[in-house]
Amino acid sequence: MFDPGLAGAFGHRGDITIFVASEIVTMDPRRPSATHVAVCEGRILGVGPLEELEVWGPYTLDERFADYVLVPGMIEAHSHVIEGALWERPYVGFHPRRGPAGQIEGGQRSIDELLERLHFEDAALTDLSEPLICWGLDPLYFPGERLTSAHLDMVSSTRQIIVLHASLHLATVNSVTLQANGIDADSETEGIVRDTNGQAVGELQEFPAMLTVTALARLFRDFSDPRHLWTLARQGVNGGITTVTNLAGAEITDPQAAAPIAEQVADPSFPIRLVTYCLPGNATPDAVAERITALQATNTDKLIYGGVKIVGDGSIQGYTAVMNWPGYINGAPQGLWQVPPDRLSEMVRNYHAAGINLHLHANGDATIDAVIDAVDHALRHHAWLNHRHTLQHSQITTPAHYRTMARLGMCANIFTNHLWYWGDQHYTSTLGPDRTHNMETCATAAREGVRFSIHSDAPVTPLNQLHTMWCATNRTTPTGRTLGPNETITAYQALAAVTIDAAYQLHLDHKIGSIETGKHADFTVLTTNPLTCDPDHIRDISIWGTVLNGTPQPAN
Amino acid sequence: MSASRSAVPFTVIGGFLGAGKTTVINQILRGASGERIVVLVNDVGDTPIDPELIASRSADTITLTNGCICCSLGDEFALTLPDLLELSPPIDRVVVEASGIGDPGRIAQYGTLPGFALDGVIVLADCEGIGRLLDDGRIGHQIADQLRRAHVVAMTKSDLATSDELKRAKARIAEVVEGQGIPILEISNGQIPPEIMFGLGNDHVSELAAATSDSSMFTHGIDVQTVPVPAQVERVLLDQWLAALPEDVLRVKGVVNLADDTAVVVQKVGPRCRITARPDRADEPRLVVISITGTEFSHPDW
Repeated sequence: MFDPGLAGAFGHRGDITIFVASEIVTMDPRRPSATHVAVCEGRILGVGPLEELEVWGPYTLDERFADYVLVPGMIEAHSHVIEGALWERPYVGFHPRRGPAGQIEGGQRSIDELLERLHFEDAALTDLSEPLICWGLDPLYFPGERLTSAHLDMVSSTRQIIVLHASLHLATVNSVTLQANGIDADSETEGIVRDTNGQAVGELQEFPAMLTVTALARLFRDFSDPRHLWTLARQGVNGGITTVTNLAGAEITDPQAAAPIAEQVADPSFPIRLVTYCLPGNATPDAVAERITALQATNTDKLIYGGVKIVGDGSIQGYTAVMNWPGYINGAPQGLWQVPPDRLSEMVRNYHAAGINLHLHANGDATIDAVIDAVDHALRHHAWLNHRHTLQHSQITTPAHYRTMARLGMCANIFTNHLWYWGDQHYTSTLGPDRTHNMETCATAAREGVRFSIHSDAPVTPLNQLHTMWCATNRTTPTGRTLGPNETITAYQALAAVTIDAAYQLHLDHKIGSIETGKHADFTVLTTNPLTCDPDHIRDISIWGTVLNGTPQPAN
Repeated sequence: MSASRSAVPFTVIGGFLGAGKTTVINQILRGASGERIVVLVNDVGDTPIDPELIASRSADTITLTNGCICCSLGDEFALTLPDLLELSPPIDRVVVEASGIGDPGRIAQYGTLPGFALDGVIVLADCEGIGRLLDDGRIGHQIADQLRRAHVVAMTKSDLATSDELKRAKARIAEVVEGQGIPILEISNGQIPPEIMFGLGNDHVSELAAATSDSSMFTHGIDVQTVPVPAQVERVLLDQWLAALPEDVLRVKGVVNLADDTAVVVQKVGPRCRITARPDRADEPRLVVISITGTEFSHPDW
């Protein structure tokens, strides 16, 4: 637990600022609520009524939040830097989202509305040769009609028009794009969707097919540019988040990636804390352990290498999550391992032995079995009780799974946003009603004693933890279903999931996650107390912005 | 990439962990004989390469004394693939090692992108272990899918198996790939005959016609036969003949002058057949058929 970064230098205190708020929700059960918090050198000097804080000497009283509610700085423990890259392009999804400048985008609810938006964006692009690339289309919401190049040709017959789907596994393009890239009846690449005459209809499925379009290949290559960290940070502040994660860091597989990231985050005006879990690539366990340990030696207060991410399988809506009996309701194959289970076990054991915290992507129940078994085996060989290895997504985890996870000291990060964004589709098309009711069972995790967080997987769903909390407390779908009403959690549990319990699974609960003396002065500033408002309205609470290390960061 | 350059042949080596991919890759690098081959492997650090072949090495790249390069394929492998076309001196060939659980057919799709030409997907199966893998309730379906995505399945370590084991393993694989026209080849010591491994841009093979009488230059277990081709062939007859070839035909390559005064290049590897236009008529039209020894096929009656 000892952390030299928190030890500080006694007797050399900087200026003291005391923030007053209409209420401060601390998430520290010893003092759940307060009116004042004193901040010094970016850390919390004390919490309580003003007279208790005055003992520290002269201070400045900051009253800008007098009518607001402060909660601990919210933590998004599963998101991706690509969130930043995508927001440099127009968002055209079904559900409206808030962009980095504070603008509301998307909400295109039919193909006609989509085309109207594309017309507008086409007119706004002054360079006639520049392709128009938009993102966020979810064809699940346009049943019956599939977007094709014929639709997009109505937008432009001179400019390349490219619409990326929400999954990022598909794109639909216009005829200009097909022609410019030589995609025709003779193209061999799988995933170029064709009509009955063999002509390409504009839909490109999966990466090989998408990479036949030069503009997309360029875009994907640009995704890893560190400048996108700023947009990610901006999105985070707008969503009331003080600590964001990159859960697919490339710094192990690409050693050159680390320095430019460090430089960006070190900028004093960079408004968010970034925790990264790196993909191990194919390197040997020893090489991975050595590399992540070296990265951790460079950790600062704002840039933290937490450990290693391992991806076990695919997704449920993509039918690639590896399932146990009875599998998908449409009889789709049982799913695709990204790592063979025996190899997964070997990786977990090796990294665990090296003291590396693991975040393990597992959507299907067969993959969840394999992950839990792997941690169980690792613990038989190496008694590291404080590992906090975390099951990521944890969508159809059963009570038996959670009981074992509790015994093993594992955490869960539950993808509650699925209830709202794909709950209806899971109900009708992937798992069927029974198992869809049993998705994202936060109440079971709590009952069985597993500490959990909840997440957006941004850019898959929007980066906004109030929305994610709302999904967990209400479990409703766009068509008005309530999925698994026994699995709703309280607003308090939901707030704990995005603050102190998220911090716990990142091994940062001694530094962030509650408003408590000695921790970083990270707050989320809200107009309404999410613990006392109607749970139906949690997602509608306005976000003033955040405070990071004592510095206010207003949202756009 | 200069416009005049022909597409770089792209070969995928698939197979589960322990199937013998590393041995095959070492054989490719050792036998490069003048070709500049880039081999993309899962992890260079985990790929033992003959020390006497190594000219220099960094964390993720090994340069060989014969000009070949062996490097790790990162997560962004597909995005950085076009960079290989910019290397100087230019490369002659790319070989990609699929991950043990990966879909080799999926990786092969990158070989159809501009600048590259897919030359074949060779999936390895360890004679001793393949039956057990196919029976594994967790990953068996994915192993079977890998085999079905092959153009040629190579049964490795065949010298270490008894003839009964070999027969059983072959029967299991044949059952999985049944009806897909995928030949199953037995190899040992990771040695896949170069005329099977590489079809495109392989001058050695294009000169086969003259040499078929001297079968000693070819690998044991492989037949190379020249099929007589008349001055002109009806396209439909060519298609019919190719489609009727038995599964044990590994590769067909050649040039044919068609009845409509055009000419085509024929490239067939396992079930994958490409017939592409050729700018000029061939002086010596011919077809070379490489098959597992003893394979019988009808010569065309054109």
